[in-house]
Amino acid sequence: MNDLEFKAAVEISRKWDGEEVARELSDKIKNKTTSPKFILLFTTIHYEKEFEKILNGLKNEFPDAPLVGGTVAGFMTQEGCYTRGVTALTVDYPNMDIAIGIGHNTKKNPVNASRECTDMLKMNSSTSFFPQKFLFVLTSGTRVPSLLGTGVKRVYKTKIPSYMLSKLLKTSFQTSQKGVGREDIILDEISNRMSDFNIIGGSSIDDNKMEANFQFFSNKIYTNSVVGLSIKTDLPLLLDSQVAVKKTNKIFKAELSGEKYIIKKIDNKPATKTFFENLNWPDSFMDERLHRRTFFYPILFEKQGEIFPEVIGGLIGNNIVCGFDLKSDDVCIGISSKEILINAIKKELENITRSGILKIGIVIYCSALLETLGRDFFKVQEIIKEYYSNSPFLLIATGGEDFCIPNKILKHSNETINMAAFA
Amino acid sequence: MDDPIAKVLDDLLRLDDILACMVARQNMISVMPTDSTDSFKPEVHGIWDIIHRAMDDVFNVIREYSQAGLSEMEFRLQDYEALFYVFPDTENALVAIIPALANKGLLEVEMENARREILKVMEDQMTVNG
Repeated sequence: MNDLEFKAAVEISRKWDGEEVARELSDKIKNKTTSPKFILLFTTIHYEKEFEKILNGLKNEFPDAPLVGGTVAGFMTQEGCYTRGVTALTVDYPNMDIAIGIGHNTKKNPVNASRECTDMLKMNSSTSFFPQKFLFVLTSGTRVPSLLGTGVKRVYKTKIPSYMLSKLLKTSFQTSQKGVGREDIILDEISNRMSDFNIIGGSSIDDNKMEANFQFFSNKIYTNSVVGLSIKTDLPLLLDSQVAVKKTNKIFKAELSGEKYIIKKIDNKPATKTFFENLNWPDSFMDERLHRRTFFYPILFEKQGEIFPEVIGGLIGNNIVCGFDLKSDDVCIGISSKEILINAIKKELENITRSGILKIGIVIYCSALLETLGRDFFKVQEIIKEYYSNSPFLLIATGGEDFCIPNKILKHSNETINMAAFA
Repeated sequence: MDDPIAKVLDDLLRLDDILACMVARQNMISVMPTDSTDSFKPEVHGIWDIIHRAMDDVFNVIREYSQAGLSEMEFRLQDYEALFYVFPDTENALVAIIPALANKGLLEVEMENARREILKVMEDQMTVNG
């Protein structure tokens, strides 16, 4: 490889005031590099009122560094694991061309938003011939709508016919831009239009309540947007994706509603009731604590040999509402556990490190997995640190994960762990 | 002088779903946030007495088994959960009251950060005191 100087920093701040956060991050970054090529910035939702100060502070210090980012449920670095704080990843390396883009109204019109974002990325991109092409994307994730005027709920015992539910959710996209994130449509479109780019990304989220999320572009704050940062470089790029779920023998035929993320029947019987019966769950489990249980039992479908886990986002009468379109009506119940998850991350790290010594890495990790692990998130950090040695890494917990290797794999999914690293 | 452990508790209490937190042992609350129970979220005041009594019973178990490696306990009472993170080799624990509907996994990460910070303060204090 080349002998050019590579500098990188992954820094965190736990201060509460936005100006202090920006100052602390800037000072820490400057200790590692004075002219970062770009900044990826992520915060937890607790900083909603401080975003402006953080972004302006960083842009003042690094006016030439393109910046994208947004809210995530939590993050992990060499330093620690956090579900409250702010983190920034920067790289300084001469043979690296950067472009950023943004698309708006992702829920109302995901295809247009993707085109807007990729057009900007292409327009801002140089004509350099660096062989490695990498794109990071962060898309506004699901925002739970208030159906039936009863506030934000994930579980409705009321019997709503599936055609009416489809209509309600469709209307919600247009009127309030709330509903599922439509990241699968966005990833399909972006990968079509930037077909030679390896893509890794995630869905912006709050503290897993799925009520609000924000995206950052330069020093501006948006919601219902997709932001992207493309990198062309001569550094070897290593990628891997692992599913942190196993299949069970509970296999069904699903009947989908007009909106393909709604399951109205399982094996020709009402979906919610049948799902509960198969897991031997009592009706009393049908409450707002739903996620504490369903995160461990996602619904899986397969497409082209790949497993796609879907976290159950809501139960509305006898309809199961998932996070993105099911691409097959053959589904099964999956199972997740701490052991499965830790084995998945170990396998990923072994695959990645087999190909080279890591200079820096980013891991996109499902926020449902973070919720299921809780305090054991620190065990995952110990494992990652073993493989990264002293190299910086950043893991962000998102509401869904995007992964694409051209002509090989293209997937938006839940309960996966995706990693990209430069060697 | 500000108590550094109270400062850690103040930070924890700024999270919406941490309704109350403290460092405690049986029959004794060792450290409270800076504004004491005034900084607890209003909804916890109504059930504070019963939670406090239930906590003492949990500390019985902690006292019995902390030396054997008991590190974590929790109970649910009405619409609330109490989480206990035990400091190793002591009968003290970091206690937090959260809503039963909260995303507990995410809160656990910050509880663990607080536990580690408090442990560091305790170790530093022990070094200073010889």
